[in-house]
Amino acid sequence: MSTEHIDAIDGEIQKWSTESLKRLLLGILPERCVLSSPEQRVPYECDGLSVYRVIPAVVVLPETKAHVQSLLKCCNEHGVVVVPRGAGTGLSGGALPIAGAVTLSLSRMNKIIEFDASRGVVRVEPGVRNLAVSEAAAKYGLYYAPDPSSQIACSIGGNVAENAGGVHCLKYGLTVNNVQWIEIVLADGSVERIGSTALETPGLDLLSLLHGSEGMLGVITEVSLKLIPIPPVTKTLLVSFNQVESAANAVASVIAAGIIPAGLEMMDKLAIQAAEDFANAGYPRESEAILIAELDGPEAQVADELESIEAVFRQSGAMEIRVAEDNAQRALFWKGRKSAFPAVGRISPDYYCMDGTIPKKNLPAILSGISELSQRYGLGVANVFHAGDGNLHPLILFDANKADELARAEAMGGEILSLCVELGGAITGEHGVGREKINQMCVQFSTGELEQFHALKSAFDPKRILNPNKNIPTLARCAEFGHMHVHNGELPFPELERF
Amino acid sequence: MLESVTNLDEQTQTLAEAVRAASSSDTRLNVVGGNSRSWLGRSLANNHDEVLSTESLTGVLSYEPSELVIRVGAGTRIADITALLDSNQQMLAFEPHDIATSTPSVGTSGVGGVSTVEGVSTIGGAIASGMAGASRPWLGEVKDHVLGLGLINGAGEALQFGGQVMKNVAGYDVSRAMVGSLGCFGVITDVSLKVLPKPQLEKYVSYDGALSSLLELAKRLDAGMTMRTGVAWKSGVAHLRFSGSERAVAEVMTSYGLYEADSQESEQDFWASMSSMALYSKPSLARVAKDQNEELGLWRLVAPKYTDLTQLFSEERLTMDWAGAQYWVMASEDELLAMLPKIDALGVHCYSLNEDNIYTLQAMPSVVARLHSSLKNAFDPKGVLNIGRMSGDF
Repeated sequence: MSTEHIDAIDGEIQKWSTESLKRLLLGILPERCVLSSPEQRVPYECDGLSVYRVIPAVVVLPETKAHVQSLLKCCNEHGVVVVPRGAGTGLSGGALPIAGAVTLSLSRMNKIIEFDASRGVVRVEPGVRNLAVSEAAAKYGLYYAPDPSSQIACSIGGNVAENAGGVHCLKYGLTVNNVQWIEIVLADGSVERIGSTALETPGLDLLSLLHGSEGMLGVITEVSLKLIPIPPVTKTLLVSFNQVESAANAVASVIAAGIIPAGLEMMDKLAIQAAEDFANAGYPRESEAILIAELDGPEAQVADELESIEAVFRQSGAMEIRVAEDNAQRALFWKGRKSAFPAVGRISPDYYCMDGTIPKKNLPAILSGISELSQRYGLGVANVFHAGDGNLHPLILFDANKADELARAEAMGGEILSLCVELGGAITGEHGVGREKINQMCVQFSTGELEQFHALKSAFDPKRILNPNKNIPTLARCAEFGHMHVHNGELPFPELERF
Repeated sequence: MLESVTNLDEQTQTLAEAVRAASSSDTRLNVVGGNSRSWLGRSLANNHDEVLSTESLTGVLSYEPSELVIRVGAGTRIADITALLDSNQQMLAFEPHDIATSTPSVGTSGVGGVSTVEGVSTIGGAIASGMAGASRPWLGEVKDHVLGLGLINGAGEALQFGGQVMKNVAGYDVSRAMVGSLGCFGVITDVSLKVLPKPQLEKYVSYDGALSSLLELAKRLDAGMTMRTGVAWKSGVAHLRFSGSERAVAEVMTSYGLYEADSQESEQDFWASMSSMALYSKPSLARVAKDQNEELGLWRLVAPKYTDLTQLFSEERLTMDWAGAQYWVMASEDELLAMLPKIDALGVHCYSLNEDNIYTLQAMPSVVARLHSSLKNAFDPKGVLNIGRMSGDF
């Protein structure tokens, strides 16, 4: 695999045996926090990107901030590499273990510490599940807006480390826009709060820097989340089109009309049919594309927006506009969209999910590009998009049992990401780089930019003990593998688990 | 009208060359946008620093309203960007201060004066200062609207971080990190910003009342989704701003028993003078200082929401904004130091807006300070850019 760790290319990593690490760590941590037997370690061999597997030398499950501090201080002194891990639902191999290193799972630090309902904030430990926050906040009439599709299982610490998105980002932002402060333990064991309860913090915006840093700059031990009032009114629309281009243009027209929907999702014909077979959501099978639009807020505002958005959809050539009549129908509209991945999993033995972003105006261009690639490679593609914010999840269908299909899917995925960069976008919108897209980073960033990233990493973690071979490729790697995906199919194939 | 810029790369390379030259000749550079915020941060350690101006980096690189993204040169005037967006019914929702350069009209509030600020406010300066305007508690802070930027580091390399799309998690988020950087970590050359549709209308409420009861009202308003984009208080008068569709704003005002201020124009002027900082400009400050025969300075105190600072300062000394999360206070350094335990207990940061050697009254927490020093070393290893502006250490 071209993303496999190679010391000579990615930088040397000191490999420890399970026995010697166990001896070292039992001197500073309770025995129950250190997992060393093979059957205890195997469950941690991968994250949501399960095609990459490495069994860690030792798994550590800290229960307190003090445990995390002792562990990092010790590992930093001895040059032991540490891979932080949340719930392990990440889709880019960010929590992929490193051979001979520690995997640090924050799953036992899972308490909701304190609500300050009047200021709309809650302090949580990093292992708290995303959905658990909104469930607990409901009694105050509040919720936590970012909702990645794995929200039932993914943890808040992992959400911060990946800067997780979801279907409501256009209006409510990503994780980075919904966190007040975090507490972080640095590689040397020192601990500090980054950000503050005050509405501005002096100096650089380190809080933003730590979002999406994929466990490479520090370990999160506490997070203060911003909560927002549950909107009094929510309206969900299901809109069908007989041309994909009309749907894409409708997305731009909605924004141009001054409406920021809470969600604006798009699915193409293949995705609609798969979802309908799976979820019976009542999607119009004959449509070439559907949009799901959601409006929320005070009653009068939503009423005004509903009127405008229906007019925009009619002008954009919508065949049919349905407004959910009640919560049950709303849930049904969403059920089809949210089960799109497993639904596609039923119509194809395997699929490869991409996560590129583009400016919205290039939706028709990327769609025709994908369709062209689909024909060239002889592989079907089901498209589901967070259309409002230009985040694409094309699902390339193939059969892993046919070896040449795997290679074709890999090559095609690489071409789609390159096309995203060419069209003014990025290689990843919300899944992260991790190990999966380490080679594509060479396409998006110049040598100088990559060197700046490495210098930044050293400022936080001079000995490079925290998740050292993720996110930012070495220059040696770019020289060796950087442009491979454009020319041939050497990319590893990710078989993705979806929620 | 704001022009498109076609030679930004060229201009950026010229500045990068200047930084490289400074770096190799051990010259220190004073990075300047429109020079309207020279009072922010510490006075530069060396007055003989050469000026590096981003003036040449002016104009629009790309703007398509339906993308909700504008990309402009860092030296572009905020007023020009605002006008362009306005003609497309859009706005910078973080309302960067466009600091007044002439006599403001402040209507009935009775406070004003000629500002001594020279220069113009540029977008690069607004990002580097990290200061958002009146809508901040509801529409977000500066970083919430930054999508990407170009940066010349201390070695004179022109780099790009982030991009022009809403979602982008490739690499470290250097672009948002530069919010509040005070030009010490790189020269911002261009910025890509998220823009939002302008609300259909704004309505203003104003009444005589205590600050504490206004904060109680703000809490109740925030508990519902009530279209408010400003809650301020000055000289015994509460000022509220509501934004949205006509129906929605009317609905909110009715349900909270609020009435439109008689003179919407003078209230509009009030909010405009908050944005231009005319309300708390140096001359009006100097007048009060003279009256009280004290050595007062102007401080910006940033707090958690709903903080009532009338417990620490007399009412005539403060202007409240951000529903109690931001105060403009006239005070002496000594008295602030004397009440520091109380200030710290409230979670308040004190920024000096005076020509002195103080950025914030409180030192950064030690780990944060250490990270800043290491990051300075990562971005500007030879110490070329704005030495001493943020910290005595770098």
